Amino acid sequence: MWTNPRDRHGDCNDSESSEEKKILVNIGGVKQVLSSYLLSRYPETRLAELASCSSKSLDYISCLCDDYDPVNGEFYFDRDPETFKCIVDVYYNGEIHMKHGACPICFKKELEFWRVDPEYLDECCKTHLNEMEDELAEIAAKVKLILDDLNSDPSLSRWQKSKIFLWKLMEKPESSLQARVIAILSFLFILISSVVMCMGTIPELQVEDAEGNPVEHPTLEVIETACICWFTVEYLLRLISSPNKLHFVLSFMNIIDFMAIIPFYVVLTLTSLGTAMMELANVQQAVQALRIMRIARIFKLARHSSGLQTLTYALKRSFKELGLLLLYMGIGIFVFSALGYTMEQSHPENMFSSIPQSFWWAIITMTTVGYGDIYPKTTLGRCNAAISFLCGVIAIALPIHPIINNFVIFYNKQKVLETAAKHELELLALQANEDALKKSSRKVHKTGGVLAVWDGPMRASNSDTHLLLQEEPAQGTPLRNSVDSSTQL
Amino acid sequence: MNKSGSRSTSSLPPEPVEIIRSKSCCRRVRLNVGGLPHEVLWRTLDRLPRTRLGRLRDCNTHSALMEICDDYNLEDNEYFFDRHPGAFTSILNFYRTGKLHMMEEMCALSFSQELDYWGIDEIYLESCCQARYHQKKEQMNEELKREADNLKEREGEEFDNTCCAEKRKKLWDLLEKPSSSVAAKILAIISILFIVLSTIALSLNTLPELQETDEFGQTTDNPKLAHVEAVCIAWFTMEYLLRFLSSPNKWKFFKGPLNVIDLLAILPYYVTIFLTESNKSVLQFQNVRRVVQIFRIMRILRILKLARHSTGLQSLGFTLRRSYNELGLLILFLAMGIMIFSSLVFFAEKDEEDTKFKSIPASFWWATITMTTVGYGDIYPKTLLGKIVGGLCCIAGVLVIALPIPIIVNNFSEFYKEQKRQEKAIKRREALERAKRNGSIVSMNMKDAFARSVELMDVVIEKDGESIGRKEKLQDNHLSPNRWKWTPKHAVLETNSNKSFNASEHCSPSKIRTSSPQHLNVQKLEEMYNKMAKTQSQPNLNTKDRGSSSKGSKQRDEIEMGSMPGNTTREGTVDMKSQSSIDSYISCATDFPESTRFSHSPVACLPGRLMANPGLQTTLELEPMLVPISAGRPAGHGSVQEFSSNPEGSRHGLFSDSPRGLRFSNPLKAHSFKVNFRGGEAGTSSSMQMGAAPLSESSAYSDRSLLSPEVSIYNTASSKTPPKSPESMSMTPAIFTFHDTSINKYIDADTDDEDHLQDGSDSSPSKRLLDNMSPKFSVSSGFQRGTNHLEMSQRMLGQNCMFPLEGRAGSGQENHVAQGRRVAPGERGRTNTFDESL
Repeated sequence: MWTNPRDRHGDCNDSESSEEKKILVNIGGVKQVLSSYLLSRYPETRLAELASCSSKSLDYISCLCDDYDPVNGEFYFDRDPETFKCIVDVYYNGEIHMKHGACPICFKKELEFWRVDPEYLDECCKTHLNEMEDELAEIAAKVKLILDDLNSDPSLSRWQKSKIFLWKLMEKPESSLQARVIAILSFLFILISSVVMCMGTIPELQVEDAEGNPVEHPTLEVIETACICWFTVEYLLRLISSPNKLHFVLSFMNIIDFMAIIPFYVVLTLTSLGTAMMELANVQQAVQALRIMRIARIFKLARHSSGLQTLTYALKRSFKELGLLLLYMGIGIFVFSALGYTMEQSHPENMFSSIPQSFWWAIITMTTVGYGDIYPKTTLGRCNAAISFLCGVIAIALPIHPIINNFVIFYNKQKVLETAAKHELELLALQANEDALKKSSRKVHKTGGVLAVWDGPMRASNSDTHLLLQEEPAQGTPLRNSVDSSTQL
Repeated sequence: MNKSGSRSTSSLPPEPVEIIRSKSCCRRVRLNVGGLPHEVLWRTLDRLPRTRLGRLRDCNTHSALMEICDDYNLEDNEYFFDRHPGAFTSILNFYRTGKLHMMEEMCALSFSQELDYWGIDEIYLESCCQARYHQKKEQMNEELKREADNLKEREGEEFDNTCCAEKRKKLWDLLEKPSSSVAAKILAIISILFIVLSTIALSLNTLPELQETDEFGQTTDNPKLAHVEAVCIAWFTMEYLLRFLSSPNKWKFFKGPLNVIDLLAILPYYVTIFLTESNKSVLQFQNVRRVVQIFRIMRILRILKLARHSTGLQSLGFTLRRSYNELGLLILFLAMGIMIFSSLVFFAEKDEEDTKFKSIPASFWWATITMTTVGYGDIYPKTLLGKIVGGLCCIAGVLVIALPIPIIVNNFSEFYKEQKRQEKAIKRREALERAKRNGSIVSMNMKDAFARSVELMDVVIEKDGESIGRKEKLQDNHLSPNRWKWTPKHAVLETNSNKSFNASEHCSPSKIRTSSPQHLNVQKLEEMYNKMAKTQSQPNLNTKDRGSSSKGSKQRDEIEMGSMPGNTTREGTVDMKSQSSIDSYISCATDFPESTRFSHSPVACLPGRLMANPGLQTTLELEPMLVPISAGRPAGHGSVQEFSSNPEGSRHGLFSDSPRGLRFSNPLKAHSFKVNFRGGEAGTSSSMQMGAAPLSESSAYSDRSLLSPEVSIYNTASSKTPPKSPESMSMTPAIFTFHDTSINKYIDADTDDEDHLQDGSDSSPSKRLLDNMSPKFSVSSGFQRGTNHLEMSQRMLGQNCMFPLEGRAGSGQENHVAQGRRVAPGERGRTNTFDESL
């Protein structure tokens, strides 16, 4: 019975205490002898229960393990032996290390089967697992987003339906041809309005108004108005069709949209009403200030470019590094401008009139731009300048690397997520198909869906991501629904 | 192997009843995959009834079982699969948990191969592993695609249809392949010198000191420099024209980017001459002059001609083409930055006196210069607000430029690495050429491999054994070149060296019987072949030329012969795997060490050890597909010939010395090779051509296979491999001849390079595949099918072919029988009778 225990643990157990009660387990073909004393260290685990209950009825045993051989007293588990070797370490060492190369999600499932708390995973492996889980969650979120797009609940009223249609039209360029056309139109309008904004400032194209002040050319003004009209209509349609108004108004992209529109109307009201309330000069100043806000419309491009979104995301994520960059630069600027100022004092034609004045010089030198409007003339000052731009290069290069890294990671992740989401959808569709097939040919058992064979809890989560999807409150997606309904059969 | 041996010595396949009983008596089943035992519940396997393991339960006859597994032992309730054990762990886990995960260190390609074999669709792969899997696969596909393109390019270089093809080919090699000869290298260097010279002349021309004034008071070129220019242009023109004349495909040549650059470098000169000459007296000389000036600018393009001579420039071009997405991103970032900062600075600075920021477009320039940190200093902000904006602009510029560049850099470095590897492979290839005697070049079907891997691996393993048989049939059709190679070998073996033949008798008694029936009709083939070859192939000569160790070499021959069938019997059953197994030439190449491992003799063992390296080498060499077809073809013949006349090593050497004679002497063979090269779609036609000569049956088969829908389904669904297997086969012979002739030489020539390659990460996939069992099957099965094809052609022979194997003791016996049945379903009935007769 105790012949060839294949594991070293089995060996040492044998020599250790022979009176100890031992159980023989067979994990997917690999036999192993375990002492019940060791197993009882973690009573909540499956093996510990098995060890404690070995005298009880066969029924109970068979629900714990897959097969029981009463002749040898061998408990058979239909599990992965490799993973088990790692998991059984918890009884010896109190911690688990993941096998190198194993998929962490898969490992976690095994842990669940053995009822070993994932907490026993060692820290190094746990981070790996967490990373993977995060990624899965992201994929799930993405899939959910896509599924939501496919959502068309027949119970909705006509108004709601049209709302959803509108929302898709405005927000999802890939959903239909019209939506794409609208997206392209919108993109063109942004470009045109930006160009018009720039053109308006060219002196040759400006005309003088009654008081002799240069104002924008009337045709440009007309184009500008048309663009603003388009933006306004777009914004309003989006707002109307959005499912969650508050969320919509507060989202970053929509704030930008709003900022791009509002100056125009403010200016309009100010010019029409303002003269009555304020002096003309003040009004003009306010108008000028508001004109700057037109620049915001360039950011509207971000809506149409995933690259820009990645950039903003990367910048958001690497806030710390950006701060570091600014800190380094700030310190450098301060030190070198002060040094430059003091060293240049000896020269008669001093360009560094004050330390704040030489800040500008320090920035321009450290970023290696070097306009040449201010430059040191003494030897010491030149040495200082040389050192300052060397330091500038380093100060920029060091913190920029993590930022770049973040960017590249996000950029690549975007692609990975896309493929994963696509795959997930394929899987869902396949599953739905299989279920339909199963429904239609229920009698022929063997031709049933491939995925429909894992029963019980397994069935509910054919994919790890599905599990996540299901946990989320809104699971009323058409695919999901069909799947669920067929499972209940 | 003892336990299976015990079963096979009974020489009778167990009754279905026994199988059913053994299955029903136990809830569990032992699966031995590549030596790693697994134990699993039948119930678990039933979860996926349509996969290979799922079907295991339903198989109640011996033959059905043998279709699914490689070996089984009813007493132990154990089923043996000769597959990679590492991948199987994850696959078995799929049955257990319903989650298909992939080991991290597993190669994606090899894993997909395993999935194919086990009949699991890759779509079930979990999302966490899916992304990685697909990325890897896409990358591989891309590489394969490029190689396919490369191959297509090479393929185009055929000079057979027009006059003086020989000369044109030589000229083409001289001009286009600097590495082909010393003369070509010198020509390339001269060409580079001319380019440099002409560029220098172009720049010097603009120096005011060197310019002269003409009668109109206009500055013109220095006459000396004009002469230099004329000479350079003459050289370029000549070069271009020669290239054009010698090019095999004129239109493709004309379209090629490098050639367009060449043309653009030459044309302006002639246009200038034409314009000035034709308009000399006319009044609108000024206008002409302006046009001429424009054309002069185009002369700058000639500097791009250097791209032809530099891999670095080419990879730069490729990188830019490939990462245009990221470049667009970079430009977009910059454009947005410029837009924002220029408008900001405009509003900040516009009230300043005599400001240079007059309008937003005017300040674009400032923003550009600042963001790229050039900073000329012609415009700079003066107000405090402007300076703040300027500072922010500097930092933002640094950031924005730095962000997308790493992605582009990554693309570049990847491509550059690849390019370097290809160059190395070319060098290696040349070294191989030098070792002329073993001109063993493997033709690999890149296109097909690509097509295969592009397919979503939709494995539909039907329960119907018949349809599998049909698939085999299809494969048979593609195998004709193989057979072609095989037949003469036997013939020669018998006609030439009776001694070795005798020797082989004691080596493997079955051997003699294998070859003897073939001897009868193969002799005919051999005659034909000899006629075609028209070479004085004295069999005696070869023993002489083989040097003092003629006896030893003969012995080696025997060993080859002995070991090859040994392999076959041993792995005969695995045939099915080769259908699903895989695309990659890599795996094919790695067969060699595997197959040599099976050779039983000590002599072969030594090469076997050494072989591991050449195998790897060949792989790497194949990958880039830089083997020029022109060179590859004769070499291929070499291998064919060497194989066909194995003991005639010297004769073969003679052949490869004069590749030309070879090419003309046996056109049929050349043709077959070509067809083979061309790929899967031509595979059937090749078989038809081949079939026309010795046998018309195969063509009939191919017709049938083409018509039958099932086969076409298979084509698309799972196995794109069939057309490739003959090639993998053609590789095997090559390698076998390898070690007996001059392995030492070969190794001397190549180990250095190869070590480098081995160091490189590139070799890792193939290395990994070394321990992957699957590739080996394609070889053995290739052989198997080869013989079976023979058997089809020669009716009687089929049985004879099998009887000897029957006599062999050991594990492979039934396997082989089963194999025979499957492979030759056309003779299914006969094989059955054969079984009964046993």
